[in-house]
Amino acid sequence: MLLTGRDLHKSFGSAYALRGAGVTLTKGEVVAVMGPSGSGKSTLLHCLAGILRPDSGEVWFADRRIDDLPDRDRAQLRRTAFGFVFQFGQLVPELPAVENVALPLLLAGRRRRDALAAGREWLRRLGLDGLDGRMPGELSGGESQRVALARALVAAPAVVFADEPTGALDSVAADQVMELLVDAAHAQGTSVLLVTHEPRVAAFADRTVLVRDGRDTAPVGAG
Amino acid sequence: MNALVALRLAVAGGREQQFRRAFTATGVGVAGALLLLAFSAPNAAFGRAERVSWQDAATAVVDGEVADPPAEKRDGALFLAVSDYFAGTPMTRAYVAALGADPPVPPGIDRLPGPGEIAVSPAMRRLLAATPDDQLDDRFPGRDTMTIGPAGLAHDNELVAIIGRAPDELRDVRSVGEVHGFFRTAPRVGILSLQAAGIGVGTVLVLVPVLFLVVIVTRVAAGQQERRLASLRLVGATRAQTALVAATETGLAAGVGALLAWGGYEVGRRVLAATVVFQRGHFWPGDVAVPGWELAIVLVGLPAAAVATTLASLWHVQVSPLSVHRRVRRAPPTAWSALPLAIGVAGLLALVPLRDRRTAETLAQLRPVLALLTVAGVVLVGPWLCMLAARGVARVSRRAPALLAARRIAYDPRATFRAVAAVALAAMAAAYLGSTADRPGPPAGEEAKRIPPGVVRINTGGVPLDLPSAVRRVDSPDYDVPTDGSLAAENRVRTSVADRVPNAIVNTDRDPVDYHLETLFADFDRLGAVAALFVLLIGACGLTAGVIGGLAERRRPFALLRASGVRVGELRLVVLIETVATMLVTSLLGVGLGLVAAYATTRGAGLVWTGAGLPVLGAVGAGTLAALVFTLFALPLVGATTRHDAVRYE
Repeated sequence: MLLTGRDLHKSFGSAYALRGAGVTLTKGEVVAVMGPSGSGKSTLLHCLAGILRPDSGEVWFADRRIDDLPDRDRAQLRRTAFGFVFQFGQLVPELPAVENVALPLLLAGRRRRDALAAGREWLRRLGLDGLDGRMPGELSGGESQRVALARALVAAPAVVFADEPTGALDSVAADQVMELLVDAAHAQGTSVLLVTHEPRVAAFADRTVLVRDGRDTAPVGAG
Repeated sequence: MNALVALRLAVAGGREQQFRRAFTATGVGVAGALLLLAFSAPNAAFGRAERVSWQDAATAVVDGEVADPPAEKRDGALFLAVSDYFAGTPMTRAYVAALGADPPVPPGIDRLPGPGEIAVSPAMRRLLAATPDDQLDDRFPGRDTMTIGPAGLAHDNELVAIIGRAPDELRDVRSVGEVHGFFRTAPRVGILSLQAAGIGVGTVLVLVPVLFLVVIVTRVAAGQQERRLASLRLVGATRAQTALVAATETGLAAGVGALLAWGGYEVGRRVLAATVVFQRGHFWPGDVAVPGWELAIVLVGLPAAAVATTLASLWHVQVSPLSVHRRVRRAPPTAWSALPLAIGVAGLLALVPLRDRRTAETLAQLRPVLALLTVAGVVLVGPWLCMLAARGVARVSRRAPALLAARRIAYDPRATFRAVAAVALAAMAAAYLGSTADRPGPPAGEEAKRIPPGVVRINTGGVPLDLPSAVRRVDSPDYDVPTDGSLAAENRVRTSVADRVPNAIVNTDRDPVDYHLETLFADFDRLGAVAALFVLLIGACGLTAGVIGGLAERRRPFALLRASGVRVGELRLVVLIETVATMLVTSLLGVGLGLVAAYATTRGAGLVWTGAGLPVLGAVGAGTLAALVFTLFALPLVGATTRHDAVRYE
């Protein structure tokens, strides 16, 4: 297993978000986590990605337990091994598209010229040729999410965590984004953990896990 | 929607709204208190001058250069005020003789001392008690029967004595004048006119950073407020109604801020009066104050400015039921924005060589206008400079934090400059205030006239001096009396001379060369440094408010970057680079322009300008650094505002 979450519990004050949920992910696999609003699926993703530390339970990544790592080490893991796509607002508004994509590489200390070249290449691969210099405010919702996908994938992460990546898009744009995400992930062997409440989006995944009241229930079949 | 509903909506809301209101109230409170304290400074200076203006009554009558003091009483009085020194400290020795039953009385006492009586200030009484009679008491012959009150004293340490004499004893003394009243207000000429000009320009320089601070604290997290207003539009509110809600919310917060400002001002002015020493004495608390109308204008004006800012910012956005968007994307600033600044600076410098007095007086009216144009020019050119600096940094930056900071500046250089404008203008104000009244250079040949140690030099104005040890100087009408150099010997000579020629001018090397002026300018150096720090404090508040406002705006993008593995330290570095880069560029510009304006004002007033003193430049540098350190207190907020919950919610 590349990533495993077991018996995860997490509460915020008196509100329980996770009550024993878990999920596994193998290399190159695309898994969708589905559930109604408030079921705990986003919290599960945040615990698996090391953004949140679970109250109890374990998270393992590449045979290494990561839930008990200090915040600094988890941050290091997120920037080197994971990529992220959120529903909206993830692009830095002051950076043009190409620099938004290149940002993870720049943060990792790559030379600027190389980072920008990689950014341009990913924009081209995702059908965003010619939009290098566009600011996020000048992009459509679908274009913004594709830039976000490029940014999540540019550093060749082991896992991409996508939290409602199509939540703000119409169905055509959503399908386009999902196709690109899954194709790109498969092409470079990246695993994807996808959180969504839309069956249409979940259908792009290899496997779906249903979360309800903070617990994972039986898998609902392969995509 | 009526006002009550608007009020209810304005006070409703969660933590974000409460933070906005508290931030606005605190910002307006700080801005208002600092503005009122700054406005108190000229009143303190003029108030002090007015309290001692009575001492000029005889000079006005005898010299005739200025109008006599207005007649207050039917009978007159013979009057003479003489400057004297004790160990280099100035003291005033006034002689007075009533010419009838109803003579005029100087402020601070309720009747004229009669022959054989003296009225003294508390500090003078302490000095008399501590000094042997032959050195000092004999210079003030008579019974101590009265204390001069604050109304007649510049400050609590002023050394003044009013000696009562019979009219016949004074009638033939040179420079004695018959007065029928005493000045109660100081004519604003000479140094006071320079002070007035300096203070006028200084007021503009203080006012603008304060207004920037108000704008910054009013605009903080404006995006959230606008989205909230959009939700009101969704349920049917008109644009006017949403504007009413926004104005009510801002007005309430700023109103609370105005009350805080009043409280801060009342505490602050008492603290300043008790702690600031100017020309060897503290200010009277009543002088460190603004008139009632000024207080009212500030307390009403600042909330009004905050409300106007809110309404103006709403004008720039179209709040529709589903979204908020800018009406137009503003064009980036261009080089043309430097034009007003160039005109202002060129105009100020062009006035300097005009030496003809009448022309200079006429054109002097232009100086505040040109100063205002220069200040406005800084405000206009600032964003353009920020943009140029940011583009330069972006071109050469190799690390992500520097690139993020540079792009942020270049993306909205006006917003970036707003955050640092207060410091830039404060640096300009500080450099200006601190170097306007610099110490005048010694006139040619002044060194040759310095009094040798141990010599008491006496100018009797041509009156023969009957003092055995006095030697008439060869090259002047002055007398020199050699002593053993001790303070006691010097004071014995001074006392002897005062007994023989009351209005003689007596000096030693202990006294400041330029008498009163030298100490005045020396104190202005120090006061300039204090003013510099004070004004920079306004800038620091603006800078911190700008940093916090910028963080509030970028809470979600920063939180998402952090979730993606960007370290909090890197985000802090982004904020720090944004602040330092723009602050350095604009502050250097501000200091340069402040010095130019100070040069123009000082030279225009016919004084020698010797450049900014080290204390002033040191204070500006330290203040700018302090402003930066001040903002460091905002940096921990980067961690707090980008926690996990900001990833999910706005």
